[in-house]
Amino acid sequence: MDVLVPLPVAIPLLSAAALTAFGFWCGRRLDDLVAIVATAATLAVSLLLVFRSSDHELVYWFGGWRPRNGFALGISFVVDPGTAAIATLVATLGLAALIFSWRYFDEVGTLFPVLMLVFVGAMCGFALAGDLFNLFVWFELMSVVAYALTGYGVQHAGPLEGAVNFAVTNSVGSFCILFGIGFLYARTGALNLDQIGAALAGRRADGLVIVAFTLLVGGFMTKAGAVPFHFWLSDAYAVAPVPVCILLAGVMSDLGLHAIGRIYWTVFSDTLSAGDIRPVVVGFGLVTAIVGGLMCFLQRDLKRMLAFATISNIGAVLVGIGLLTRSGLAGSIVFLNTNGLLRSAAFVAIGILVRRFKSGDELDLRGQGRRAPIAGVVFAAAGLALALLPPFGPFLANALVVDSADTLGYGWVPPLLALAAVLSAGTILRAAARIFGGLGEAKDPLFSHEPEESQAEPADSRRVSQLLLWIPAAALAVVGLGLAFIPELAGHALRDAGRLLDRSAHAREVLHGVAPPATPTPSYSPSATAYAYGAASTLGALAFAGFGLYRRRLPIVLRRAAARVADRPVAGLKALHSGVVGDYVAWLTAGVALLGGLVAVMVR
Amino acid sequence: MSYLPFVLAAWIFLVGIFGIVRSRHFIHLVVSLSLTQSSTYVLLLSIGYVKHGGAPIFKDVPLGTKAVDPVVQALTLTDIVVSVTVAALLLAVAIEAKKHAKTMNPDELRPVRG
Amino acid sequence: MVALQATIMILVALGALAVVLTNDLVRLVIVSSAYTLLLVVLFVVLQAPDVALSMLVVGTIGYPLVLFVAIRRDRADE
Repeated sequence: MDVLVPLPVAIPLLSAAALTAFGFWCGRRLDDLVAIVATAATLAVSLLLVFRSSDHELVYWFGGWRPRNGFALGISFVVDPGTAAIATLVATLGLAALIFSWRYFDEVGTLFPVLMLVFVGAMCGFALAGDLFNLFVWFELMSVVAYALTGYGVQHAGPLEGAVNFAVTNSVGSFCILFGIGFLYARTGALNLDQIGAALAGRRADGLVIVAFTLLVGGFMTKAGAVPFHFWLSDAYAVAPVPVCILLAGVMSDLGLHAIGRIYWTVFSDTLSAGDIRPVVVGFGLVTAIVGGLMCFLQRDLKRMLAFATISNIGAVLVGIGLLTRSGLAGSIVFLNTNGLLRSAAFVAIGILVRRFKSGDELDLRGQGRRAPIAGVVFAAAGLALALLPPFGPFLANALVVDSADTLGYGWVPPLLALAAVLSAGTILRAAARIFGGLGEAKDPLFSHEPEESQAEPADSRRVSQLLLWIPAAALAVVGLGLAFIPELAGHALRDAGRLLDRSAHAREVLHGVAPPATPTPSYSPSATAYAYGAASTLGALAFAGFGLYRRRLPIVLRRAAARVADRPVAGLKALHSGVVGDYVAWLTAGVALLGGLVAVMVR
Repeated sequence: MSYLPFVLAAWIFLVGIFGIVRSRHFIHLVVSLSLTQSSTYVLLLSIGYVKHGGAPIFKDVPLGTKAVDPVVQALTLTDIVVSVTVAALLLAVAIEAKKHAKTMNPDELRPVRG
Repeated sequence: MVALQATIMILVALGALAVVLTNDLVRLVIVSSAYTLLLVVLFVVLQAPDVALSMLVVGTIGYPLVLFVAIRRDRADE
């Protein structure tokens, strides 16, 4: 029992309650300060938990309701370095977002820091929860807060519609999850993840288990924004205030994927064999990565562009989890943390641009960014690292995934992942070159129009101190790039993943308190193939950025041919993202049906 | 009593989805969403149902009396709270949107396309 | 008992359909409270009196009230 375990949830939630009660009397700056201090404390505790849990899982039973004879009545938090790292990521991004919003908003009520604190606490709780219903409660809490934050303080119709699409689609996703939890409870009479796993272990998966798996994965994919569950994501992230986007795009989407990995390994791994599930999940991941990349290319609104880059990244993480191997899971852990930091840094850079130039549009901002060089450096650095440039985090993660795919005979996966990185990172680099370098053409009819009134951001011409705006940007970028230089980062990720993979040892540890013997940290260095993919995708991304900038200088013959091939699919793809919530829910239902059908076909 | 409640839950869920998809007014949309959520109550409570079991109130009853599962009832209570929160939030957002867009039809009010 | 359960379930199923097919807003609120009442009866039949009680308060009093306020706000602008 470690008393630190509940703190990453307790600190933000209690501070939020205190701020709600007393915040109105304290003035805005004091409220912000309390929120910042509370988030910093959460960050410190989470970081401590990463180290404390390095040898064995920390299992905390609330109220001391420990399991007896492997039967858990109490509710638990289970901390391993991977989940603690996610809690740390949540707190880091929350801290950056709060510092950034200090100067970013001109006016903000007491409720903003309160909502941010609840959001941070709920996400930490979701990352640490050890049983399905807790998972669901934290899921709902973070979702509801996220809906409120997306439409926060916004005076335009567009953002509100984005918030509605977000809320409706995610609610339907959460009903799917609840159905799945109900079915699992009906089958096993348990809610604790490890206990359900123990009850299901060794039995052949019947229809009920397959349906439960489908509904859970479908629901979490909705949160993550995997194709075809992703439509809400681009609408919501494009309109949410930048400080909120930092948390949404940086970690909330990834949390859905984290839950999929954790639930598969603790609950389903001994009843649904990896060989059956792998092609389905990897397929969904690859489609997500490529569609996200393509849609990213078609955007000119920077936030919407990054939203699609997020979807593309999510696809890559999903592939890593979906390979269902130690190396793939380790890769996804590294991916999730570094990509989250880098995407958030890019969002902060956009926020600086919006604050200074009152626009978040790539074409309108052409060349203007020269006056904000720090934002440019951050934005371009994030783009380069996301393009799998060695030796940074995304490259390292990709190397782990490449290894795993090659051993499994999935050699066709890494080229597609590299292609997705080229598409999404190339687009970010294109925007960086156009905005901060003034390169490229000033008009391009291919790109989607800027959403009307989407810039619901504070726009104040009066000069404000830039310091508190760029510190979070630089800090996030430095941490995101620097993570790769932690000694044996990949080795630690491999060891952590290995612990989750051994279902029965994990269950013994959680339910019976028997710690497995400590394993040494494996040593890892990326293979030559991985370096080749990294170099190829970086060069590819640069070339693709050039293509995006000077597309119209290509010979006319080429352009005609390209138009003949691509125009219809591009128009179709754009038309699918219609902005109508009814369509999105229909897609969600179809996606769940497709997922279930594929899983059923593979298992039978 | 065996499969009927599960069929009912699935039916309510699908009817609710149908309502969301055909909705032409935000308030109708919110009501449909709550309706969809009510399918989860039916599902959870029928999972916990025990034939000839009493309500799970364990005061003044002998040990070992047959009762339905209280865990799912606790889950359902949580679920109802969530449902009302989401509905209230959505209505607030919808009214705010109405002020600016002068419409409550989700089809006419699109933030972004493409 | 089984006949009672089957009857109430069929009523709930029909009620759900009636809710989504109602377009007029005021009528929608009334139909949806009626549907909630049916649910309350179903919960009692399923031996969940506590859930039924909270559903009764929330679904037939609180929720319609919120909906009526929303409808009023919606119409006040016109």
